[in-house]
Amino acid sequence: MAEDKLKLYEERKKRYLAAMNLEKPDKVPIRLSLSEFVAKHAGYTLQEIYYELEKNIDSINKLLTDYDLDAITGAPSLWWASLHDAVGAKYLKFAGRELDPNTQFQYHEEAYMLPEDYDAFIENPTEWILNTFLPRLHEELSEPGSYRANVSLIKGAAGMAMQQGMNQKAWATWAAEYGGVPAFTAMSKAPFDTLADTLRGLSGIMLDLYQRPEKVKAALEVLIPHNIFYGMATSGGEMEFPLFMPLHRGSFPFLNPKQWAEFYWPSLKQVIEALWSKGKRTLFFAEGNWTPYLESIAELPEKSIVFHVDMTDMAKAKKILGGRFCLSGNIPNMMLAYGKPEEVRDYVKRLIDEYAGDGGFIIDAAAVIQGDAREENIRAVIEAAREYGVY
Amino acid sequence: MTKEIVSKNTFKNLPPGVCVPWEQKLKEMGEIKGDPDIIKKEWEQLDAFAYVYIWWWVQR
Repeated sequence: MAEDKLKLYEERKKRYLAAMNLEKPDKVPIRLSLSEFVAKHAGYTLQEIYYELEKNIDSINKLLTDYDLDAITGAPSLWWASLHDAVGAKYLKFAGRELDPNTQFQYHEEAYMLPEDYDAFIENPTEWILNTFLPRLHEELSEPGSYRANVSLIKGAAGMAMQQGMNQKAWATWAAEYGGVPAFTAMSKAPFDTLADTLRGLSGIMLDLYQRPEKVKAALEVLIPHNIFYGMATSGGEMEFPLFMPLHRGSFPFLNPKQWAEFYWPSLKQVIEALWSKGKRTLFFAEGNWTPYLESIAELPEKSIVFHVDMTDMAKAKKILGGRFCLSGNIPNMMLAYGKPEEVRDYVKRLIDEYAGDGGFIIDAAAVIQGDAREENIRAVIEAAREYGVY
Repeated sequence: MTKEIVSKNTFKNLPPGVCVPWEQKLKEMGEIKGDPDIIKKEWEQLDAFAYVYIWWWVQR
């Protein structure tokens, strides 16, 4: 690692970690959750970054060359479309195949797990996923034991290993050549989201809450140790940076507060507490509005999460969670897409003035920054944060 | 929606990170002439990789 890049990496890392530990760093750290915007900035189509790992990774090189960011979320596309084609995964539709070359990927939700699957899932979820869920989800696996199915299993596992290997190499390059610091180094989910996102889907889980609540609770109980393990496994032993947990169905009002307290929160709390007891902090990426639940979230161990604000009431989040957890986010994505740079600057200044004074604050957009964000607005975020965010 | 593909589970109550338990494989291997811990460690490492692959399609 070049001396100047090593110094830059250490400075940024120190700044980012200090904020998460509720300390006052030299400056308010900037961590932008950038996805499809990165492709646009680098001059790649979405088809190129979805299908070609090299371009997906290269787009970050351009980003790090042009923008001063303290932490980055990694290559813009999480999902390698070619791998999804190899197995015939039905739940994602990608640019350049089903969609125009510059259209954001789409998630095609279905109840791939049926109500009658609960017992087998609860008995052995790993085996049920492989034997029942994947053949429903993966067209190439629809006749288990066939030539096509066997080939798809080889391609799928090999593809995941290839993608992970390239990503690891890329992170080493970003650190060494650009001083790039990871925003997180692992991933897991709330057990309710695991069940409600890819397995039962929203319509399925909503019926289950009324028709088979005990099965739902039993499935959530089974998922807790799996989601803890998955988080630790994907961390690869790295413990300084947080684990990314995108939170979906817990946003108000997908569930009412009674349902949230009964079905969503207990298992999520256990996962976060277990991760923290092992030394892994959670980036609580609270997509949507979590205002009604702030008092419950405050029960988590101090510093065990970074609470990310999307549409949650920022003032209430600061009042209830401030001083206990680092806060991040809240710059409206609509403003980044349709606002003017002056508006963005004013918003960033206000966030820093009102919420960053005691430390424990990270600049970020409210949600993941996609292709609709304007270059001048991203630049305005960074310039304003650097101008006003000096302690 | 999809064809019915429901099979009976081979194992029950497996812990996270395990697809085929080492204890089961050990019974099938018969005599191990060298250090069984080496073989166990390597078995479990690849077993955990398979586990993560399987769950990767769900944890998103």
